[in-house]
Amino acid sequence: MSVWLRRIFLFVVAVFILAPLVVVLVASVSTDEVLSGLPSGFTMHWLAEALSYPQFQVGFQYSVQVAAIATACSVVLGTAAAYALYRLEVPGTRLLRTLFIAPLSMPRVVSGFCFFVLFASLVPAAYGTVGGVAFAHVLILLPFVVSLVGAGLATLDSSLEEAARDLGASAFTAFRRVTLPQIRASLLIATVFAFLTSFDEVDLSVFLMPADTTTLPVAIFLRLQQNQDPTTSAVSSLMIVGSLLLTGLVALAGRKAGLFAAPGSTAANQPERKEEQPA
Amino acid sequence: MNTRRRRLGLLLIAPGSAYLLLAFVSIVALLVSYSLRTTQTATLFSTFDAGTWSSALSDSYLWSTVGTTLRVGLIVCVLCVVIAYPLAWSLRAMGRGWRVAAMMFVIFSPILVSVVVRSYGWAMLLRTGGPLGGVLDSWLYHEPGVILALVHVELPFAFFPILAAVRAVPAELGEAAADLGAGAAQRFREVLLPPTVPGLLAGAQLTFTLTISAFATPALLGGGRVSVLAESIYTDIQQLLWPRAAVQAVVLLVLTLLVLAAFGLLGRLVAGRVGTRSAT
Repeated sequence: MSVWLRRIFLFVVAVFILAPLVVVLVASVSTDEVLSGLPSGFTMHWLAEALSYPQFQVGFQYSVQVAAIATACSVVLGTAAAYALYRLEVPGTRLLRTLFIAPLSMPRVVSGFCFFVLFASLVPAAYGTVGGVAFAHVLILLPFVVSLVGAGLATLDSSLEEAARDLGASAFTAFRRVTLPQIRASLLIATVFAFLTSFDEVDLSVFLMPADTTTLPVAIFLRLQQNQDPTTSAVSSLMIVGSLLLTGLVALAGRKAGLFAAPGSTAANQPERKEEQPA
Repeated sequence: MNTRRRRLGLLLIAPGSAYLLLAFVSIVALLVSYSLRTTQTATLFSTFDAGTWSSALSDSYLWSTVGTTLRVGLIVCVLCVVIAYPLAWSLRAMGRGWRVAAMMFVIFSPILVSVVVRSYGWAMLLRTGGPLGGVLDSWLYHEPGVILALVHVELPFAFFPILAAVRAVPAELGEAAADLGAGAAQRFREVLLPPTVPGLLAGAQLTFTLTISAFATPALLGGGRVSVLAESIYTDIQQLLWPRAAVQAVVLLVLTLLVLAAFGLLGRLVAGRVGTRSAT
């Protein structure tokens, strides 16, 4: 491919990827009700309206709580499982690895429907609660945590931990003082990724909550089905900026702490993780 | 020492496994149980009958929904791979540096943004009076609009496995083939393409399975006119048709497993062919 052809191709792809995000960002600060080209003026009106819309306020709190609980649970369960699968001997390791990746091939609407039926028929109290939604989200997040942390653990040198054990450290101390610092980068990425995935989740969540109190993306979804006005753009813009800021800050903090310089960091794990996804 | 490691391993893996088994067992049990009823009920066990199955399977609506789901899935999958494949080679050709990093970020960034927001962005671009409304007037609330937005949503999932495969091809391979007198087309077909086929299949498999279960994008951009299984399940629940939703959920799950199996088979076939070729 000639250089110019390649540049044009990359430019077109970049425009295709960024166009829908840019249009949302622009519409949220433009005075036009319907954006048709360049905005005719600048306004903070829609942002103010979005921030004072009760469904979005409730949705934001709801989403943060669900994402925090689901992330905490899946990181703890997932790290423990990954450690057992990639560092210790467990009978049926191959089968168990498949089990932990399997939820990825489960259509989220199917899981959503099932959790809905499960709550409706067995635990009606869980329907629409933060705990109930978070419980369902763990199913989606676990595979990511196990693959990411597992990939981090798989590249580790196990002799360091063994040396610590030989020198008299307990299993827990050896893990905390020797292994944990080495997989910090994987853990951080898994945590951020899990949090954002849970925060943005729609397909499964939409089944689990009554229409008046929902997570933020579901609130946006339900509002979009009724009407499309710049207020929705405004709240969407806040979500775009929020996710980018969070990822940027974490990347920066990680770089400062020297997390990504160690072997077994992001760049090295990316392909491995992707290869494990299709079960 | 060994038994202690074993015991610790079991102890660590037990909570996660228990959760997953509980979730999976209940999912399968509930799906089957609810698809074998004819009325919406919250009781877990009542008399079963296959009425919903027979009426759903003889209903042309279900089959047209399955058809739309698979057609959209296939088109999106092909388009994603067709864009992602040259994209991966282009990025590889650029080497390293801030431009590659910037482009990687651009390709990765949609993953950080909610699917609802991205679909809404496309709705704004395509709607009457919108920037693309004049050119692609009839796309919104029709299949092409849904496909366009889904390609945008699933592209990163096709791109990363393909990029990993393309990056793993040693640079000397193409040079050696050129030295031996192979033309550009032959060089690509016989030397550079074969080692990347597994990555290509992985990307295609991921986009296909993700697309057939996509919900938010078809719901927002289809305007009720493009009915895919995922959206149909949701609509049925809104109308309290639980058994019918369960039937469609089973169909979607089976379709997903079939697609996974088909790609698995394809992968083994390709691996077999590459293996025999390098052996001869």
